Amino acid sequence: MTEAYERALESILRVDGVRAAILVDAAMGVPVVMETDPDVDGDAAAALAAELFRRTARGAELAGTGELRTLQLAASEGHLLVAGAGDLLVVALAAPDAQLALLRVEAGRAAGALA
Amino acid sequence: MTKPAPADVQRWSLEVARDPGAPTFVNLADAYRRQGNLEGALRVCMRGLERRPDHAGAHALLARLYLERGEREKAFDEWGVVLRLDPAHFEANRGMGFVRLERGDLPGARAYLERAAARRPADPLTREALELVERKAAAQAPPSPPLLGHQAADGDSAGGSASAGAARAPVAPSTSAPGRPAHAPPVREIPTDPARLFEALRGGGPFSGALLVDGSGFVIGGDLGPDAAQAEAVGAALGGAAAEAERAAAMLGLGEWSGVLLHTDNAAAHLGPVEGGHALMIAARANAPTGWVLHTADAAAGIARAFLGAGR
Repeated sequence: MTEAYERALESILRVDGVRAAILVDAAMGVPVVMETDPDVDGDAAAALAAELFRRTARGAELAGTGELRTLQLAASEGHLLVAGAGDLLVVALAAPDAQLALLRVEAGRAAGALA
Repeated sequence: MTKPAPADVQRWSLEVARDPGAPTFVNLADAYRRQGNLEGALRVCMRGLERRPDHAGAHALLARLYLERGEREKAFDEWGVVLRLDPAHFEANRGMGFVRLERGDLPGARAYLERAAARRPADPLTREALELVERKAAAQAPPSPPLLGHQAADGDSAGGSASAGAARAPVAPSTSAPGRPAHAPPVREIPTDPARLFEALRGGGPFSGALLVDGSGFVIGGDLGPDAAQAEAVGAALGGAAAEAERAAAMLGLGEWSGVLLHTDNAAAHLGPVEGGHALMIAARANAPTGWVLHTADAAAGIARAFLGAGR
């Protein structure tokens, strides 16, 4: 199974500007598999991404918009992308100039393959 | 010991993400260990110990992790640290007793094991080891069988694997390119009725609503539908999400957050900060182009700022 997880991250890591790709246990907010640049704290990214996804999903649920599939946090120094994949989350951290549209596609595909 | 509940692990992981030296870092590291993620457990434990070097429980866990990785000398060193911090520590005394026993140091083994037994008289491994010490001492028996493996598998090191995904429809990747193809409606005037604050954005397009909330999650204006009570609940949830987005961006070194773009089964939406700790969410149909969503979020933020400015 770990091999399938690693395969899911490979296409994300190939996108220019990606600094980390992590599969996260959605319920616990801990990484299952991760590949990160040395300066990225993957454990913290996993926990914070899971919490943000959980809170945003709650808002979406209350708004009656259905289940949250993806979220993309944009900030001055980079982006955090999270895609729901059943009990897992596909999380990517990217530089400000990363190819975001492609990253979204790849994260969505990875999530689809894992769900 | 029972396996921790996912909600507890989630809380610990968040606390440790915010502060690697938070008291719960030992709980989180042990949860990693129980999942079979020894590398993750070591990482969390070491990082926590950088901030709390005198945490005996963390050193004891580190010893156990080394032991489970087959690094006995390192485990032995860690138990030594534990016993300097807490001379009566059960696990460290027992571990040191096992090591001394394996090395044939019977008096040393007896001393450590007796201290462990004083702490937990009913522990079967300690009793077994003490009996072995006595037998060896009486008969000068050949080298003892390894006991460290028993210690490592002390009943609760369930190697739970990572959870697999539940059955669910695959996520359809969005192929919409971010761009700014559409023109958001111009803002002509500020409605005095808060519920109609974003009325100018309605025009038959994919726009379905917007909600402006303050830093406490109270709704200031706009709506996402006819149900006002629902708007209050959504606002409260959005307030929490906005605060979490700000915190995540800062803690991950991403700088100041400018917005969260989200896609659900039935909607595309954008949540972003507005001056003064306010947050604004706009929602559109799921097939709305991403660029249109971002553009409309900009327009809605302009309305919100004008409204907030007019209220001063």
